[in-house]
Amino acid sequence: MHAILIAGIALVLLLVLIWLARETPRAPAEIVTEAQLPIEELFSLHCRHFPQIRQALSGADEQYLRERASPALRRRTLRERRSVARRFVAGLREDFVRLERLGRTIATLSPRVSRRQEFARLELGMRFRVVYWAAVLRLFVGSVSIPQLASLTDVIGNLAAETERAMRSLEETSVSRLRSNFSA
Amino acid sequence: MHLSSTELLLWVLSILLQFGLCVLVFWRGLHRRLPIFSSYAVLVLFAAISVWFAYRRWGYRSLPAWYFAWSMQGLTFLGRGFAVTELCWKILRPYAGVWGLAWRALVLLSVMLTARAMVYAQGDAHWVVPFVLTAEQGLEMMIAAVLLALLATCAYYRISVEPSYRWIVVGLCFNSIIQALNNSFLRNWLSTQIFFWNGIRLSSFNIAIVVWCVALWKPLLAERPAPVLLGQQMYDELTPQVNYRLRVLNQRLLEILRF
Repeated sequence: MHAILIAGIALVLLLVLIWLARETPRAPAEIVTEAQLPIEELFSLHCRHFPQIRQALSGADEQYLRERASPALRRRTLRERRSVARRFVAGLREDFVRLERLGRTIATLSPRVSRRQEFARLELGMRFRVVYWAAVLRLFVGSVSIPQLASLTDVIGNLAAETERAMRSLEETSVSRLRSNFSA
Repeated sequence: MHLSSTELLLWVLSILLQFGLCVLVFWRGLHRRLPIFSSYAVLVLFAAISVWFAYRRWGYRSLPAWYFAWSMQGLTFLGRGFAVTELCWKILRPYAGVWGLAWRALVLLSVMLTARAMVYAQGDAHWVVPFVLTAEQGLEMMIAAVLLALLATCAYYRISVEPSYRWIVVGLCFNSIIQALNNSFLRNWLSTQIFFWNGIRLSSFNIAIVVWCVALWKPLLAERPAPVLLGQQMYDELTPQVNYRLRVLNQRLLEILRF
């Protein structure tokens, strides 16, 4: 029994090794694009389009459709709205990942890091991924209200605004170092 | 000598590969960058040749040869431990913050797994062969876990590892995992399956040497200058903000789920 357990663990380790052994160089286009972005834009690219998305998904539109459109048209429109919401949530994930990556890059280039902050970010990243996939599943089977999406977007928007000032100072002093690390 | 022809072939192949590895290590100048790993490569060659002579002198299944072979194995294992430490230091040391965090975690991991190996080996202390195999299995798992933790840390913090170092780590880790697997499966049938056990042992090590030789086949890349670090206040100021917002974002996403 013990031998089987050890063998199982060893097989899992072998799979993890195969996964970690492959170098995952980023596409050159991605590196160039990211390196050319102003540093504050690394925070939130997708949530900036939220006003347009809110307009497209507005409750008034839904009301109008309910009153005037045929059931077939309403179903098709709902399907399209859900698809837009899915893409929007995927975009928010990109924003989250970009922000998370920035946090890691700052940690990598810092002379000293806090164990508490690093473990907290690791845990948040794992939790976000679990919740994100659950949300994606939810969007496939049900619907998510626009106010909820707005609330989510506001959080990211606030983040961009609040950290913009700090990021400017970072940009002034060390953006070239950060970018060289992104490109590494 | 009572080695079968296949074992003999694997043995000769292993010595030739180890010799080739030593040539490549010195030809490519790896000994200037990774002196401990280079010493390990020489030690392994020396151990293989001396065990070969021990078998010739005392016989393959004799007790003195067995003790000599396992003493050499212990010595090379120690060398491997130092080589792993050197690799961790070489790869992570330029990133002072990450290194400060990682070395404690790696030491803790290795101490825990070594203690676990010793506890399990203690259960087999009544007979020397199971004791040695259990201890070796636990220590191989420890090395594999430390190397995987190193690779995972590099992946998480997006630390670019020089290809030759990466493949050395992969070879070491692969060998350790296969040795642990080999000891797990074949230890109960060692008396009848010693041929397979030895064959797998030699083959996995030969594969690791081939991986290292391939890594050293091309000239080493010029050493990168150490990264210029940011000021500490950047981390202290930005990281709590970033983490706070990530936390709020998680909460909002959960709210969407609850709706």
